[in-house]
Amino acid sequence: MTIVGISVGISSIVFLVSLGYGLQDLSIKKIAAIEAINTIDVAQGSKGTPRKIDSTLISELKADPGISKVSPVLAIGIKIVSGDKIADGVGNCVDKDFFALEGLEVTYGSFFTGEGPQAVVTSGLLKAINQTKEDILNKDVAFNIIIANAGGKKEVSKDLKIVGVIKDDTTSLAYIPLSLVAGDVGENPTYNAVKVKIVDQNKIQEMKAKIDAMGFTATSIADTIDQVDRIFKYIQIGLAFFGFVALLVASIGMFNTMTVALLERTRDIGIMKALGVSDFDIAKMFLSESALIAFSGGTLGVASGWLISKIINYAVNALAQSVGGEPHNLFVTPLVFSVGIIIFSGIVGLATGFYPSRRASRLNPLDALRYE
Amino acid sequence: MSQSKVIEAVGVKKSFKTGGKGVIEIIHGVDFDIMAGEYVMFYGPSGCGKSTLLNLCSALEFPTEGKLLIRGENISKFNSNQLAAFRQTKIGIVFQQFNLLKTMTVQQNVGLPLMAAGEPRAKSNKRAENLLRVFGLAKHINNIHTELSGGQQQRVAMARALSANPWILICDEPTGNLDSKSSDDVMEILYCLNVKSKRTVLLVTHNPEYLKYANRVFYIKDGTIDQVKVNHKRPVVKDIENFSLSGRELQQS
Repeated sequence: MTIVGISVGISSIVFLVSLGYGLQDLSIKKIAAIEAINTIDVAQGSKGTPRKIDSTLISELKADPGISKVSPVLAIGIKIVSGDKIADGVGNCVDKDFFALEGLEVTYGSFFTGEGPQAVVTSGLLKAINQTKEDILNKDVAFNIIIANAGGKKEVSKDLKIVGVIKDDTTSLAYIPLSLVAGDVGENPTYNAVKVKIVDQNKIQEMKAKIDAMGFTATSIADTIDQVDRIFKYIQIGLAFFGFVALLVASIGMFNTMTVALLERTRDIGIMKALGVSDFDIAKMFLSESALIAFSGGTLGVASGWLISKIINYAVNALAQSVGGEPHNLFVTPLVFSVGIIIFSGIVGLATGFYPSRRASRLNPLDALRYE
Repeated sequence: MSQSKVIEAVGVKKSFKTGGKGVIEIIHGVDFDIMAGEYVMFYGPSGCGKSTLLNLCSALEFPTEGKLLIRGENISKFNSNQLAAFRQTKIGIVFQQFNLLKTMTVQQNVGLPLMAAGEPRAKSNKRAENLLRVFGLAKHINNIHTELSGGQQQRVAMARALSANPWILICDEPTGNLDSKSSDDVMEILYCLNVKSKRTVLLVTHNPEYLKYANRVFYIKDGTIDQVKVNHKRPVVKDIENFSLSGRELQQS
């Protein structure tokens, strides 16, 4: 029963902490793709006389050894015509590096393929023109592109092949190759933003400060991830705290078990001492027993915590999929954590067994023999 | 009989604290010697102090005053490890209540003193097996104590007391919980051990029928040795069924 008690405490810790790690992992994955974590978004500065984001800046950034990719973004207005439907939207003129740096994933089709007039749109834009992905993928659609340049606004009509659709019903966005509008934006266009991928993720704060000093505003999704990490750290601590309360209760139960075992075996201890078993061996016997109970409980607890989390994860995902949702892994149990908690439970066993073992070793054999 | 002293008591007193600040003296200054190979009995009425005297000789109690030497060593000065080593191999105790360990088999019980002395499990098991054969209990090796009669349990206890080949066999009313047949068997075995294997035996009894086995009987009264009687004529040893080995064979078992 004591082993069961310990295992319940440990399995609750494993379950709760695994849930914390799983939710953290899931949140971070939702926020950014791995490449996006190394990315800095450069926008126009807000202090003093802000510098323009132009070709000069692009060259400066490309020349920096700490930067591996530079991807400018030019925002444009678009009108998209499909049958009798005309919809307004926002266009982002980008290069092929942009999508990975932004952490975007195309749900249907692909990103830019080679050169040529093409676009990647969001599912929100398709809804605006009453089209489905089956209707529009790899088909030419008429775009009116409104570009602001030094000479004022310019409207250009182009037929663009829709090569990819991004699942996002909240925005009406189209991504168009920057090269397609190069001739229309002038020689030294002013971009709206630049995405910059840095070489060393550990130097992200350093690079942000450098870009800020150049007169721009640098932000990174890594800041959001750090905040998320911090929040989840507290959540994990909170969840682990509840688990440790359960373990504390189980430890008290184990201390009680060892003390009762001492009382029940007092006479046996007296016999052993009278036969020449040393105080050290008596103490070792009790300590070994309590460590073994706790270790067994810890191992069983980790196994049962892992199993319960797998069962619940399966059930939740089955439910989610039945209503059209996506399956996700809600529980992550790091190996280091599992091994650590088993070792910890063994230490708890030694700690709770220490006092009873000491008492047992110090018993007077004659008094112990007389104990009823 | 060898002339070497196994136990030497000089002015031994033993007091116990009572509730509060009171002290009660149980043994009032006794002097005696027990020689190697002797069979000595402490005899007296209940509460006379014979068991206390026996506990002093067993190194389970220590004198409040005086000196008690066992083979020349003053055990009062031993630390816990020295005491444990002493109890492992120098004395073998047989208790009134048998005191077999509940969680161990008969073989494990008998091998325990050797295991405590650090002998390998295989050696202690072998020794236990041989002793149990000598005591006619070979087929009960894997039994636990509840599967044995009282007489059988006491024989297991005697085998255990002998497993480390101790100097002295100390028995505290070994027949107290047995029927008369089993009691007679136990006393005859102890007598055989003394006569045939020259084992020094120290025994407490309140049964006058068994005094015939002792070389000397110490009559204990009110915490002192009232008188010492020598038995010049002891019973002739008869071979007990399943127990007829000489001392040499018993030592080598």
